[in-house]
Amino acid sequence: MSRLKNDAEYKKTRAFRFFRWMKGEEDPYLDNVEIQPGVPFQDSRTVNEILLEEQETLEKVYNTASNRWIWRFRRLYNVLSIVFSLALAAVMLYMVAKLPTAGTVDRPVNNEVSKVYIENGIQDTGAVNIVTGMILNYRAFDTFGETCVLFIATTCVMVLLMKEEEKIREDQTLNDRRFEPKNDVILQKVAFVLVPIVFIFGIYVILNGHLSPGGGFSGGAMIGAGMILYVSAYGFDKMQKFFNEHTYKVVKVAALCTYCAVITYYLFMGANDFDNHISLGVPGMIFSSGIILWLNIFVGIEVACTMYAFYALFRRGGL
Amino acid sequence: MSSGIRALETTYHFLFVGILIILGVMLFLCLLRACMGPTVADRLVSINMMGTMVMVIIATLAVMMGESYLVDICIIYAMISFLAVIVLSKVIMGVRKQEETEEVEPEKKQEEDIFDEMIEQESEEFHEKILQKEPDGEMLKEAFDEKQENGEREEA
Amino acid sequence: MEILLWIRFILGTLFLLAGMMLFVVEIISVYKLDYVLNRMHAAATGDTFGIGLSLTGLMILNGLNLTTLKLLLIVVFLWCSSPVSSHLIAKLEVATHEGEDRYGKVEK
Repeated sequence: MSRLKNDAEYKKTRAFRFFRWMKGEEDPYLDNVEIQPGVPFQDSRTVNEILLEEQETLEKVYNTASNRWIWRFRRLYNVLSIVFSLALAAVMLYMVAKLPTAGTVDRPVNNEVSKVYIENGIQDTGAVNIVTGMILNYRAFDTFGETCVLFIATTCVMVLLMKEEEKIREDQTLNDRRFEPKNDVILQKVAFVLVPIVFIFGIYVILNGHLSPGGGFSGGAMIGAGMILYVSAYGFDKMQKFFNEHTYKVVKVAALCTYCAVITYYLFMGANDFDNHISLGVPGMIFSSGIILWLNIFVGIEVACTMYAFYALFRRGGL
Repeated sequence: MSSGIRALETTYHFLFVGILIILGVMLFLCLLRACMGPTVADRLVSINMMGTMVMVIIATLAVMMGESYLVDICIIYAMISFLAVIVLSKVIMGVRKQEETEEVEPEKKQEEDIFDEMIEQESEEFHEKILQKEPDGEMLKEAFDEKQENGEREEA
Repeated sequence: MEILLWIRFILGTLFLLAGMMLFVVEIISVYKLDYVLNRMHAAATGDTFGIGLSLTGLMILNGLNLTTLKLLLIVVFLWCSSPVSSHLIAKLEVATHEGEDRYGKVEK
């Protein structure tokens, strides 16, 4: 609705189309982009007849009793494949033996780049674990891209495989636990003991990411593994009491957005060459190394959600 | 004193390298078993064994190199291999049961069709009984009783 | 002092080699036995007793620190998890009836 133009004229403007698209009333690409329906399969024979015919011709062609060349070729192929894989393995082992031994000075990896990281790493980032300092402080924007890749991957799988909750409940054949032995008591008792241990170990790995090897990716994978163990023991109905689709959306989007906000603030306000007013703390303590601890937590949440979402989507068609 | 300790260190090194070689050979044999195994359960058993041996290898390396972080990796490996066996066996069991039920289902459908036909025939007989004779109150009651008795017998 | 170190070395080596022996027995029996439910018997021996012995040997060789505690955690975790995975594999074998033609029916 415009005050300057009348309705018919206003409907031709770009602003009207833009707002219509924003509201989702009409999709401008509806008939232009999508695939046209294909021509139906036209053949007098049925599919089974075609397959049978194909099978018969194949049997005639590959009949080793009448056709000796096929038989010879097959024997030669087997021998050659074994020889080729052995030769490849031999070449690779020879090359490995010729490589410079790990940790020597004249190794081509030992250049000034790694020296700078090792010398200035603790001062710049405050992380005792230099690897975490590199991936979450020097190259934090790169890690943001990796986290986005995880997010987009789950979104694509959801677009392809997700069904509505009511539909899953209606169509009982898609409920995966119909075809499984329900409520395996032994597995449930063991999962009751092991799942908390797995969760606590994963949280330990995430929180100690800047002090010891590990960090968000491996810790998040462990928490996701714990969730999959819980699901395979107790089923999706019990899982949905504390982790359903709504929780998934909120947690995952919040983690990604907070990561983005933190890293943007850090890059514009306090990156290496500027005045850094995010205190690094004492290296070696839990609450140190500035943003690394928080970024580790967000990455861990993202990875755990991704692991669980893949399993649930492929298994059940919904979270 | 120092020469004795040095001898101890070399023996440690030889012990660990020997154990790693033995475990590597056995890992290869396990892999062969997993390739050969005729059933799915065979393969799962040998993969579980491989996981155990890899855990021992990682623990040996951790003690040999004096790096405690390798033990963390060992714990993670134990968890993931346990999870792999559980999820794989459950998924394969579900798929197999689904196939079995799909094989059984057509027969069931036939039985249900026969049952439906029987019920239809009975209802036709019931109508005929009513139509042949004049609709009396007692007649209807008798026919109803008969029908109910038949139904009860079938249910039982 | 040096003698104590040697005693520790010998003790740890004994445990470690016993664990290796169990692994070798496991491999041989996995190749020699016919049926999965029999093979699993041997595999479970290595999964629990073999890894317990070899990690005990490594603990003795390592001395007392945080690594020893983590090794103990691995043993406890495996003793919890290995029987469950064996149970599920046996259930899978019974559910799928794959070896029924060759080895006879399994009583439920």
